Amino acid sequence: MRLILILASLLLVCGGSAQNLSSLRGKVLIVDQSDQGEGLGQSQEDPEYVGLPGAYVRWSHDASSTTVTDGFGFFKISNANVGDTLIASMIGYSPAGWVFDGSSYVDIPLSLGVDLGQAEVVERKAATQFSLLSPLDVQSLNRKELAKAACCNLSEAFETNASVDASFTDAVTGTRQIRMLGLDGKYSQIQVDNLPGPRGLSVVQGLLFIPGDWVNEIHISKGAGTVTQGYESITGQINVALKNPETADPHHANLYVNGAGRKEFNYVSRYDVSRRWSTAILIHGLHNEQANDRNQDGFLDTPMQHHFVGRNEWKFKGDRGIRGEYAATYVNTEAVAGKASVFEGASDWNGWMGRMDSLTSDWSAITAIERIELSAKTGFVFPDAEWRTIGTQWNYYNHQHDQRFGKNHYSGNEQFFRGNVLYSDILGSTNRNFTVGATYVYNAFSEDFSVNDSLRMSPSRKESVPGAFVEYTWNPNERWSVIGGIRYDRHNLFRHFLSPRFHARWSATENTSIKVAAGKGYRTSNQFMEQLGTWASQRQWNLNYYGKTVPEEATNFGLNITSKFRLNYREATLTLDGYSTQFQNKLVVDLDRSTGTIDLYALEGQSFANSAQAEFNWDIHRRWDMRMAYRWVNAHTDRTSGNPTLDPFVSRHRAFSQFSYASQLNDRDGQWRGDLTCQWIGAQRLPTTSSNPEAFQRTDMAPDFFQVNAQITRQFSPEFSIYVGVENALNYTQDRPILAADYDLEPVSSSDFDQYFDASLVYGPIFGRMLYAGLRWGIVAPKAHGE
Amino acid sequence: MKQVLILLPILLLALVANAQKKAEISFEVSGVCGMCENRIEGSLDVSGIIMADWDVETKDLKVAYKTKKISEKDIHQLVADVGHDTDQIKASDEVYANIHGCCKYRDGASCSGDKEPHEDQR
Repeated sequence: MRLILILASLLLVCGGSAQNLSSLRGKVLIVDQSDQGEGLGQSQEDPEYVGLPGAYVRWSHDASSTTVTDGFGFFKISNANVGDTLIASMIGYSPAGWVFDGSSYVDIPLSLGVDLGQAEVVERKAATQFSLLSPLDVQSLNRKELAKAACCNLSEAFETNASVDASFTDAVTGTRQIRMLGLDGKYSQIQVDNLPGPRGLSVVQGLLFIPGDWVNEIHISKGAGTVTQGYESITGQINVALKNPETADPHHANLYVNGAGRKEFNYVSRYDVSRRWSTAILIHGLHNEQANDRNQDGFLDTPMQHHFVGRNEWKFKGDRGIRGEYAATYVNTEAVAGKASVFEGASDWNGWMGRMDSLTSDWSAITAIERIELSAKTGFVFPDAEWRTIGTQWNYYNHQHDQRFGKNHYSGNEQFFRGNVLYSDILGSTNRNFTVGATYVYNAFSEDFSVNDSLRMSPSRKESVPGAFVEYTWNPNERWSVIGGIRYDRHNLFRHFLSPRFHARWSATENTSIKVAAGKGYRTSNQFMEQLGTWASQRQWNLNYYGKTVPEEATNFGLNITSKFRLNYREATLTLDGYSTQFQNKLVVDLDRSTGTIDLYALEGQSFANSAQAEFNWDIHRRWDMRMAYRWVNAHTDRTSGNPTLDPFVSRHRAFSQFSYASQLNDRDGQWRGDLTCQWIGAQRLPTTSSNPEAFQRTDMAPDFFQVNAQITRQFSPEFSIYVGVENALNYTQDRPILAADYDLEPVSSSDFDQYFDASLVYGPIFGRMLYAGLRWGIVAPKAHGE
Repeated sequence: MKQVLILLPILLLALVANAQKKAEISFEVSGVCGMCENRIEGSLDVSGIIMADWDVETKDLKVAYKTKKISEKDIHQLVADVGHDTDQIKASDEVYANIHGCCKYRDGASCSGDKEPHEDQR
């Protein structure tokens, strides 16, 4: 796994143009241990060598030269130049280098074990990497970055990231949603291991099903992105790479508790089943039955939850270029929230969940989700032509979501099936390559929405979308690289989707690159699950588009400048970017028509979001890293009858700074680490409440506020570490977040509650300062053999 | 007061910028691989060193340091103490004997693919 990280970091550093020269053949060897006894004092004479299949071989300067050894350990690599360094690597073995001396054949022995020294090379890499060479504006967050905040699930993983905003949907359920480039997370294409992730009915809550401790890396790509994965990306793509049989540690366990009563357990392990098959098991459990009402408004500040998520993945590595990844995931979550009085007394969990089935007087929010997901990826690399590959991706999920919020009950089911076949090849040289492919998506929704237990609406639809795409990548020289792609999808309900996308990178100097991006994206919407926050209110749903789902359509343009330089002799990175998203079609959400309604209608007029961001990362000292960022957003949507055009819950300004400290590793590789993150979140517009009686009014502009998080980690050895931290250290909480809750001495009458209750006008934290602690224990990859 | 937290980096920048006299030197250090790089750079993880960067390809070690806190000779000594020859100071044989087999630059680039097994390979 570390080797992969090393290779990945090398990929960032290596560009290189290939010249066709002589080729080299060889064999990667390991000591055969099958017929030898174990034990010390073993004779070192005549160790028996055998070929190692599946090892990676590449030129150190050219990542694209990577080839894989065949079933007997043999390889053939072209473009050999005298003096170039050949690197052979394999999981579980120390990589070996060899300088090409003009010979035509070489044996390369690998020794067992991953050296800790190699691991440190990775540890020293910045936790967030910006690529100078990829034409895509991609930011990669590795485990080190993710460990800076002990995030429990993906919605909390962006706390330390400036590009993605995370905020609560409402004041009762504790659900967080993300925003990118000033637009809701639904406009970003979120993928898990390059397969569709949170989308459809799970577009908001799907982030909760991805435990932070399972995540190996997150790649955030701003701008339209690649066409190979579908038409759904508008503001960008977030790809979450989970730990898998190759990247996971043999065993890893994590325990977490926080002051809100949340207890979590994560366990990840991997096993090599045979030479070709390996498997990983990932388990996540969450339990919280603590009733918190710190602001004394009669509502729980945090939900009570039971979560279970389990995943099993199998990886196949064939001898002749066949690779496969097959995974199954099961999610079961239950959550209850609402009036604190509901959860006092003798009732237990089943009693609370039972409120789902019948109408009750006290306001509560009950949610149950069950989801099954299956995926299969198989790839084939042509043995004589490593640049020629065929990949297939299949996945299926069944998502069942039931909830009762007050008088409103919802039951939704989504079935999703997708097949994607990709073929990649080169045109003449590796400087020009292309990918063509075809996709088929089947997506069926069936929803029931009832108010006061009488069915109001049961929208259902079946989407069936065949599509085809082609993408061309051109690297004419080291200065330029271009990716252009186009895809066409034939939607059975909504005509043709044509998505052209373009990315280009120009390196002004060796250390400064300029990237441009332009592209188009589409999505179909699911109003009930996308506006999850509104459920925590008495707003009536006005669906003014006559039951038709609007396909949303938008164009995105962007510019990015990344520069790496040395400041006071130490590495620094400055990134400036600007993006603009223009909607041609949009499902407008209007919370301003009245305090008692949510209006959804098709866009008339214009809607756009412009954003700009500056981010500065500096490796300030041998022990210190720092990051400063500022982000500006202007999100505008024309609404009917002169309602405000500024999108609500979006802060125009956000500033961010972060410091990280890591002590010197001691002789057992122990370390102290500290992280401090400060954020300033500017004013946000809130939906207007001026027509309400004075007690139920709030300001139209929320105040700006600061948020400080800190964490200290003590790593005793790579196997064991503990951490303590604080979120919202300044104890900032939103003033009276719930309309028509009992903030004053006079209780709110039930008729007022029925008319004015609204817990969805949330701009900031509800719970206040929260302490947490946890531990990580694991067995890391095998150490080098020796005395 | 809270604003100060956001702007703390700028204060630190000012602090670092007006520090003492600095110098940057560059000299050759023997070594083979990424592990060597790690060991060489790690040896200079001491007070007074601002930056140490060793290049596997060119064998060139760049060091920026505060001249009042550490001398050029100290830097060479620190590197030699972990087993790597510099162009001024040779590492002692005892220290050299203890470095990982694949880093033994004196015995020919053994990190490379010679067909003999490494010393510490069973």
